[in-house]
Amino acid sequence: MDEEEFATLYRRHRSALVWYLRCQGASQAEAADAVQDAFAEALRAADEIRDARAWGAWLRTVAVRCYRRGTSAIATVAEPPDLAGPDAAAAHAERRQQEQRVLALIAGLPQQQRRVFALHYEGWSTAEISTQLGMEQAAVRQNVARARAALRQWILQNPVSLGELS
Amino acid sequence: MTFDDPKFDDTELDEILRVTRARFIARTDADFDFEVGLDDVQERAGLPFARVPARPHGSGPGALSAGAALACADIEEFVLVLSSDLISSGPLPDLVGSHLQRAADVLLGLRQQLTAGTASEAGAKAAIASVRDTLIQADLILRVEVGASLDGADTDAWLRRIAEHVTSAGPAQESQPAQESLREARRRQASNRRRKEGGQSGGR
Repeated sequence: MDEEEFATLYRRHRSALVWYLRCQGASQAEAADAVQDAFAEALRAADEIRDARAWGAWLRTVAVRCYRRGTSAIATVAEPPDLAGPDAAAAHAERRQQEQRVLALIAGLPQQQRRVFALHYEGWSTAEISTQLGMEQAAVRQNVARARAALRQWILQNPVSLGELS
Repeated sequence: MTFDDPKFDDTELDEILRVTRARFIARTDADFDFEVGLDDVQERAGLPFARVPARPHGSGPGALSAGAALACADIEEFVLVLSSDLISSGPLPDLVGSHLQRAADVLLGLRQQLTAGTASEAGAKAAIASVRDTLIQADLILRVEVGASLDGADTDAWLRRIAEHVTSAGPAQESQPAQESLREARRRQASNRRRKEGGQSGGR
């Protein structure tokens, strides 16, 4: 893999991986840090993985491992400040609030449901999740259904408004 | 619809989560300095690679409508569908792999334009038409050389849905409230389903 291909891989997967780790309960800083570590491992392994299609699953597995290990001592890459105007900033803040709420809801699920649910919304099929997590397909479907039911119940019991979607 | 609405069902819950995820990714993409990030990756890995040009910051996710967010989410999902279709098909001719990779690259380029607020409807239509042609070629090669096809990926339905979301997105600076866009997208999807059930050909 040359540098341009690696840069494309980074641009394609980086933010989705941050979201995935946030769903696992990582803070923004922890997720960003673990994703950087995962890509560092990817860079070292770049010549060993020939099948471009394998990168998505590989990166998720390694990113979770990096997050759990939590050993990175290097400071997280800083994100630039928000330079939007006041109106855009208010809308932006509202959306961020909603994102935080959704992430908190998913991160609050039991571990198994959380892992299945996050992969489900990554676009993975039941068969792929089954293979990745080593569980029966019926168990995958059951976990998705239970996670949905738990989220609905949680939302109904929670008086905090998330406001409109926009 | 809000999260406080006790009537929302699985479909709406799914849509909220998909839109929220798509927006998170679009915002994170737009806010993040990939050049600095790649330098940091290089430092952590202890391996050198050439610096790539920084991504220009576009109008950003503040202008991202629900239609654009849904189009982005559909693009990501469709690219995954194509990948999983490949994996389940086993070894494939190199040409098929390169066709599918090209289709994925065009779609991801469109996604980048949508998140940057620089996508035009005409440009998006041209990109989708190009992807459709590329996938038809890949499908033909698959049928002739290995007796397989892309039927399982339901490519026409995915591309139609992406095009609908792009159309409903409109110009970035005139973004509709997401709720309205979502309702419109749902109405169109239901209408398309009815038409399809009414006997129209569904393509490949």
